[in-house]
Amino acid sequence: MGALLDALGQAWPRLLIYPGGLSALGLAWLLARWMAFIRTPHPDAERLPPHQELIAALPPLLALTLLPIPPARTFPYGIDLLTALALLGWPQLYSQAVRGALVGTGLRTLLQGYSLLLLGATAMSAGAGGIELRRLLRAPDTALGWGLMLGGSGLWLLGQARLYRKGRAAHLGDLGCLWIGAMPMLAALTVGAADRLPSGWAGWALPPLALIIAALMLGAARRITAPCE
Amino acid sequence: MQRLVAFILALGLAAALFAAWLLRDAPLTPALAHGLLRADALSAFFALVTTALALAEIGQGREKSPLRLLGVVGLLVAAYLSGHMAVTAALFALAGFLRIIGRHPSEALPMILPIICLSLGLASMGLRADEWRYAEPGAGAGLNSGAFVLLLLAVLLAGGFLALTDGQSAGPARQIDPIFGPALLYPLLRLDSLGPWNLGWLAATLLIGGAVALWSAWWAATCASGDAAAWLQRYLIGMALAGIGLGSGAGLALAAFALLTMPLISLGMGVAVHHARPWPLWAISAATPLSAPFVAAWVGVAAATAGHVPVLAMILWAAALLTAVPVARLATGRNKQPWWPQDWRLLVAAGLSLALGGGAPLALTLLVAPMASQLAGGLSPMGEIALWPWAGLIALDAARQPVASLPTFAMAGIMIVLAALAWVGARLLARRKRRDEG
Repeated sequence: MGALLDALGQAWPRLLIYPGGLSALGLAWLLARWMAFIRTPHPDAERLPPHQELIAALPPLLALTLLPIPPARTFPYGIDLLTALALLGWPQLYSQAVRGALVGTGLRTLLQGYSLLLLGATAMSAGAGGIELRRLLRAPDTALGWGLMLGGSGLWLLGQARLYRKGRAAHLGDLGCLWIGAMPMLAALTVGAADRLPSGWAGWALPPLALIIAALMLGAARRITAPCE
Repeated sequence: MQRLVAFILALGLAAALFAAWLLRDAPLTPALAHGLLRADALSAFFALVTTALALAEIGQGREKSPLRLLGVVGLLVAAYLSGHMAVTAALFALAGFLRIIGRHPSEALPMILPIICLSLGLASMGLRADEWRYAEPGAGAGLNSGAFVLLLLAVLLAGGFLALTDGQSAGPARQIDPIFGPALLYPLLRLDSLGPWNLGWLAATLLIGGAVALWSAWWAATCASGDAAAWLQRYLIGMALAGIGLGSGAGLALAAFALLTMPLISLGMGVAVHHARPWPLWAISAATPLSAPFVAAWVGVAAATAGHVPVLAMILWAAALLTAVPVARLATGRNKQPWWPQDWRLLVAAGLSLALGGGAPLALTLLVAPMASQLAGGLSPMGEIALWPWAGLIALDAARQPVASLPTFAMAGIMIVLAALAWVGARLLARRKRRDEG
């Protein structure tokens, strides 16, 4: 009990600054601007009332807080892919349900996107040897493991591109999914570049680099999978 | 009469919980009963589930003859407590006949078929081993593929799985019996007391369970709201079958959590379908973290990952996502309707779902771990769902390495802080808006 309270007490930088809190809000805004710059049509989500938007934003914020991304301080009670996807996908499902879009075309689009996400998640977890998120940051022992992790990351981002929607809470979910898609790249970058960087720089320089690569891939995937305006 | 029966069933539920606690260390086998009576953690667990399912039926007001339902539950509980396979079969048969009294023969006959399969399966094992008491050392010699197929067929027939072919629930062998469907999993799980299963049986159960779960979830996502409850129950039976097919402690945990979720789904969906905006139903959705269906889905994916069956993990994951669709559709309902008042039965189902999800470590300790230790002879070490002290649940593979984690307590703690911050933020924004307007 003491260990749990201690960990919760020391989690405030995660909650307020990084990877949750202010950095999450800022990065989600940047991601939304980037996706707007891609100039692909975004199905307009019905604006939720502010209090509902706030409720919808809490689960993705929780997931972002618990992401095991450097240089954030280690948190001993990490979540796994299934829990992360449930938390990050909440705003999407909630807004779709409120709009009455869980039938017909809306349901088909949702299932297509999620099937790619699930394929990606399964490939990543098969490569990493488990569904714990922290495993995605470790280098696999075999080339097959690398292939599964990086291929899975690509499928994950492709699925995310199909599911992309407007909405403040949804943008937080998208940012969390982007971080997860970036994790295998971060593992690859760490293996390839950590020794070439000055001591202590890898934890600060590589996560933003992996996130930028993932965002570029997401933009490209969105551009390919959605028709131009 | 309904209230009296509900009260008796509630007492039964409390007694089953107490029995589960009492039997957590060792089974109870009174010497005077000569092996006819044998109560263990599995018996107590099924007594709990059957009683809860009967309570859910009463709660929905669907049961026309509550006394008869009470009789059925009593006979089934007696069957779970029997250590003699012939007595178990006879008690199941009696309960089955009591269930179909007054029904049209065309409707009753498909319900007799699972009982016939069950009786033949158990008789085949007893005759082959020449030992009818399953706890005796020689009983394991009776395990045979014919009996296994018959017991599996009994589960499928009672679940009305013929409906999977075209999604139509009307007609013979297409309707799930809410009491018997899950109850017939007991004889199948009891096989673990006789010895380990061969790989063929495990593979068959795993494949059928996974297919049933995914197929039922698909129909649940695409059918009319009124039919979703039955499909969700079939989905949970499929999950339980997949768990049994994994043949490990983690698989047993999957079967247990799927069965524990069933009464909540049954009550919640059954009540919600008559309401305009039953938002508490969100707490019974597999998409809501820390709800009972979510934890059941997590245990499924974690058990499959721990058993190194990634395809099953993906199937169970996809099935869980599909089952979130009908619940979300129903929960949102006609969104313009007032959000209060709500039906108290729905609130009870939602509250219990969150309690079971959040308190999953407790359920694991009280109900699942004793079952796993008492059935250890029939289980493989390919995965275990273990307690993560003061954090939640963790899935371990055969090498005892963690492969999945669900820190329920830590998540709940941070969520409370986040919600408090959001509330303060919302109040500040509202005050600023009022000041600007003023």
